[in-house]
Amino acid sequence: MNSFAPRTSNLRVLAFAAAVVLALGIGHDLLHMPLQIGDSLAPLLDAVRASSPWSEFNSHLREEGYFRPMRLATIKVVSDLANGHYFLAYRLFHAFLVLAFLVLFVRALEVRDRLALAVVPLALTVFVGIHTFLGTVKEIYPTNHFLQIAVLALLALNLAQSRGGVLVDVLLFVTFTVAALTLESGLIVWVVAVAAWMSGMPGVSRRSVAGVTALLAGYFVLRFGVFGSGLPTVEERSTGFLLEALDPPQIRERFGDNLLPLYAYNVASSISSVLFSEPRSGVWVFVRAIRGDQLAPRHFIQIGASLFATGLLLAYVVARVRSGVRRPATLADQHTLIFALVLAANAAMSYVYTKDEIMSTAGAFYALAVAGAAVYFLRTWPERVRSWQATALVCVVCLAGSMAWATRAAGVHHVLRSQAFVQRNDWTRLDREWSRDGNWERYRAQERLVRQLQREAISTRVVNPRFEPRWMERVFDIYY
Amino acid sequence: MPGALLILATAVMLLGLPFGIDPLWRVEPLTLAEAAALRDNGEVMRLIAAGEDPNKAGTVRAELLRNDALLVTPLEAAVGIDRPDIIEVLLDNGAVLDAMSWTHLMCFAASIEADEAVEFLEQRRPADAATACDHVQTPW
Repeated sequence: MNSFAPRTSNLRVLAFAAAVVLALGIGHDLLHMPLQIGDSLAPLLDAVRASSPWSEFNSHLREEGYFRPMRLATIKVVSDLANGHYFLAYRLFHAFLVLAFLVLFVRALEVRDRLALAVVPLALTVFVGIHTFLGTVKEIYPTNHFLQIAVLALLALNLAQSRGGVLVDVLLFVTFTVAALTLESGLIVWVVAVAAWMSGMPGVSRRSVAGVTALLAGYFVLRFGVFGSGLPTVEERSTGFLLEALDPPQIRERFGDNLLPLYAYNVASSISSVLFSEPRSGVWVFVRAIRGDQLAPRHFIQIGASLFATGLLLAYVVARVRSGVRRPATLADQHTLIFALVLAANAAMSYVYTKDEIMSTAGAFYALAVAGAAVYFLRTWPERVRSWQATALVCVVCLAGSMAWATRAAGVHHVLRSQAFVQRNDWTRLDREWSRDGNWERYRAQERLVRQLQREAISTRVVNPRFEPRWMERVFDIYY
Repeated sequence: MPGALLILATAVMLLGLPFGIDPLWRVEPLTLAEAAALRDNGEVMRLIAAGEDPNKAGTVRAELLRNDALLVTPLEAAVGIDRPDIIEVLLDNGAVLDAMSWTHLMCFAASIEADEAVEFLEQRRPADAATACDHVQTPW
């Protein structure tokens, strides 16, 4: 053994350190963000006055169109642990999930040599820079369930990459159960388990797949048979379509009773969004920017970054197929197959309405597949004899692509600062809006707590966008 | 390489935090009038809660409202950018809109064609407020 070769454990430590640094940077942003009012305050107040996590779980088993009892139970658990410091507790919980998200991602990369380590910065910037990641950090509800699902999906993948055994099986079953009961898209954990088994990952056996499939069947029986919660309909939310967002009456006006074209559009645009950064939540913002004469560098950075990474991934698939690979033979092959299946399933789950955050799990697996492709090309580079012109061109493309991804990842801080400004300002309209919506009648008994949360939100120091350099608005992503 | 630079920059930023150096969340101190001029409703409420007088004129630095620095009240700043929501926040938190100040603000809003502010102020008109602007001096 070469005594100068770094030990695998040292390389792994470096990779984890990079993930922890980025997670702490984002966690630092999160601790500066006020709790939001919309989608967050009411569930928090409900949790505070609920008697126990179990009562929250139990009382949300029969909701029309949705099945998320664990989500409300989790909110209750965090509120109980908060001991009155709700702002801090929910933010810390969020920051902890972000840390787990990044660490699980790097663990799944299985960094074993210098080449794999060299790709970690690119992998992390794709992971953090893709717009679907924004959905996991820019809002809390007051626990971000999209982030919880993405973390659980990566946990399932890590279990699949382990040596397996009864304990791994049990953990996989628990992971699936928690995910499925937290959010409808938590069923993606089943897809991860089955895809991992199909790709030959050692931690998932036939027994594991049978077990998790039995749990899936149990989920359907409970949700549709016992509790009759049904499926969400287009009447509940607006969704992006071509160049605009359609609200439910507009959807009915445009599609009538035949919603299949809308469903097909939502699934296709969800897939395209992960691969090409367009459309965003169903809206083709690049085309809209061209038509409105509002093109900015960020549009080119986002699409350019995606073309680079997706191009790398496609080139990898073509290279592997050409070299005769028909079944996944390496970790990168396995990640690519799992990503393809997770992307398809995640998009299918977005059939009623499409949102960037719903695709956050597929976005995370996209980064894994891209990282595997990058390692492959780095490893096989010496075997490819090329002219210096071709070499120079490849180097320029790779540099431009990785710069675009680093820019997108750096932009997360900008988006969170903008969000913090908006969220704090929302608290100044609380009285008027709650009086208008009748919320005060519902929560009058908790007015003292609401006032405490309002004081905490208002006292949070946030950055006024006027003092941000103007170029940031044009270069970094914005909240769609 | 760019990704590694980003990670390195983040690490340096984190190391500066214990020493109070926070480039990502560097908050610019604002006067109450500046907060109003910058549509920073949250900062308006925070400053008032911290004891600032919502009726007292304050300096608004150059380039925020006009090319030059100005001495204006928070309500004048809010009218100056034609934002009824900020006027409302100020009124909800102790700013006084009596007959004299109403006439002053209304004349100011009309002179700069701040239509939304005009519409909002119309609804809040005190019974004894005059509408003539002959002798009213506006901030600009």
